[in-house]
Amino acid sequence: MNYYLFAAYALVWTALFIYIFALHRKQEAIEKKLKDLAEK
Amino acid sequence: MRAMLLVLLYPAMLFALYCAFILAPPEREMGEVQRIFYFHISAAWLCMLAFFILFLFSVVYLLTGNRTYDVWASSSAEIGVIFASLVLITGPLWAKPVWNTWWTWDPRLTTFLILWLIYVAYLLLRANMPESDKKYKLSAVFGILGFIDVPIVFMSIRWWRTIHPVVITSTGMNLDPDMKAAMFVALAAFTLFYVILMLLRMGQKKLDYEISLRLGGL
Repeated sequence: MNYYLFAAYALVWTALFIYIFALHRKQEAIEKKLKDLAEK
Repeated sequence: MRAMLLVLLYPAMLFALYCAFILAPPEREMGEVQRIFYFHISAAWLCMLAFFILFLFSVVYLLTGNRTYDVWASSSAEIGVIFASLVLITGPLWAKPVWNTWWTWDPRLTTFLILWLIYVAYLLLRANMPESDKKYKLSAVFGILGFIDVPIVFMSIRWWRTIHPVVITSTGMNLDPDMKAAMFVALAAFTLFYVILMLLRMGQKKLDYEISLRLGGL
C-alpha cells in the first residue's frame, strides 16, 4: 500500500517539478532577451 | 545557481517521500495517517521561516529604504502564505481520523488561523495599493507587526491546555529514530524548495520591474 502511495506522490511531484523547471527555463529566456535588448 | 539547486531539489524531494512512506515505521496508535506529519511539520517550518525572512527584510527595508529588501520581503510573504495554507489543509486531514473532527478551536489551531489571516491581509494590502514608497513602508510595518503572532503560535501548545501533539519538548523529541530521520530529510527538502521558490519569485519581480521600466520609457 505504501509503495503505491509513494509512487502516486512521486508522480505528482514529478509533474510539479516539470512545471517549475519549465517556469525557470522561460524566465531564463526572458532574462536573456532583456539583456540583449539592453545591449543594443 | 537556480538550475543547479533545481537539479538537487528533484531527488531530494523524492528521497523525502521515500523516507516518509517507506523508511519511517507506522505510528503505534495513529497508524498510517500519522505519515502526513512529515509534510505538515515541514510546511509549518517553512511558513515560519518565510514569515521570519519577511520580518527581517521588512526591518532592513525600513532602515535602509532599499527597494530590493521589499522585494525579498514580499516574495517571502507569498511563499509563506502558500505553505501556511498547506498546513491548514494537512492538519484537518490528519485531525479527522485522529480527533474525529476536521477543526476545533484549540489554541494552536486558532492562533495559526489568525497568523494565516494576517499574512493574507498583508498580500491583499499590497495587491490593492498603487506602487509607491507609502505602499512599501506600510507593508513593511504590517510585516513586522504580523510577526508578533509567530512566537505565540509556537508557544501556544506550552502556554495553554491543548490537544495538539507536542513533538519538541524540553527533554528533546518524542520520536522514533527512523521517524526523526524522515522528518529531518523532509525539512531539508522543503527548505531547499523554499530557496528555489524565492529565487524564482524574486527573478520574476525583477523582470517585471525591468519590463515596466522599458515600457515606461517607450
